Amino acid sequence: MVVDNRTEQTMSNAPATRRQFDSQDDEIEYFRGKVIHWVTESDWSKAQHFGDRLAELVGEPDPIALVRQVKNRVLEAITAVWHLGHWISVCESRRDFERAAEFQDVSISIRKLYLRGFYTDSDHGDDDFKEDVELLIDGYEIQARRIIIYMDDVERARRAMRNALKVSNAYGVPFDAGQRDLAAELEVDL
Amino acid sequence: MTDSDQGSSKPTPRIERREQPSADAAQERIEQVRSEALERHQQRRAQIQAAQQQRLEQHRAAFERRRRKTRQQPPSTQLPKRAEL
Repeated sequence: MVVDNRTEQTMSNAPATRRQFDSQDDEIEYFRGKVIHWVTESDWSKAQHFGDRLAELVGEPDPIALVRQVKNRVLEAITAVWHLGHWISVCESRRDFERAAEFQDVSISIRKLYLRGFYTDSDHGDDDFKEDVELLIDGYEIQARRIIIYMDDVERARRAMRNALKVSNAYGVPFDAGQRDLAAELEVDL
Repeated sequence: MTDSDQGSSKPTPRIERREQPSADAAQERIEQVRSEALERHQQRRAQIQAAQQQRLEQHRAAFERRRRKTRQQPPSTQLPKRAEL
């Protein structure tokens, strides 16, 4: 049992509380969930509060080192993607969307490495493979939506969705309804 | 003189009779549409992020299971179906 001994400062004047977590992963997930929630609500003071706690727990990744470790197979791609995902939330909580987008690009590259390195051609019919391709396409979609919402750069968002479409076509995993809507909005021909 | 001309002045073109929205109202409408679109983006993004977290958790658990299984099995000369990263 991991006990969070730091007092959890609330955003009001309510008494500080102590929260218990079964593991550090649970603690990280708790804070990431909070960041995603408050970023979605555009409540930046709360987002940053939880983002700072998340930053203490996960630490800033070194993208170049992560990619090298995944290529050299000394780090699981999934762990690298995991670490990057948490730090992307930290960046968003600080409204550093450019940095978040840079980390997301690295995460996308690692997911591609993983697809090419982990699966053989004969695995392409597997549900696991399909799900991993969906995860990659989701990554592009999140990136495009982040760019639209916070960076207002339609051309860059369009490029992200065009790349998503290439992956979709290459591996025969179709866009879902949300992705088709976004592609239509960005005038990306399917 | 035609029937339609009888007893009336020239009709006002329909477009002029319609109430014209002010520039402010049009701008307000644009802002509303934009705000709704952004809200949709935000909701969709949050849904995907939550789903991704869940999937990654499952993948990590699957990795752990595979790793434990690999350790328990005696060494094989046959290559596994998928190379472990």
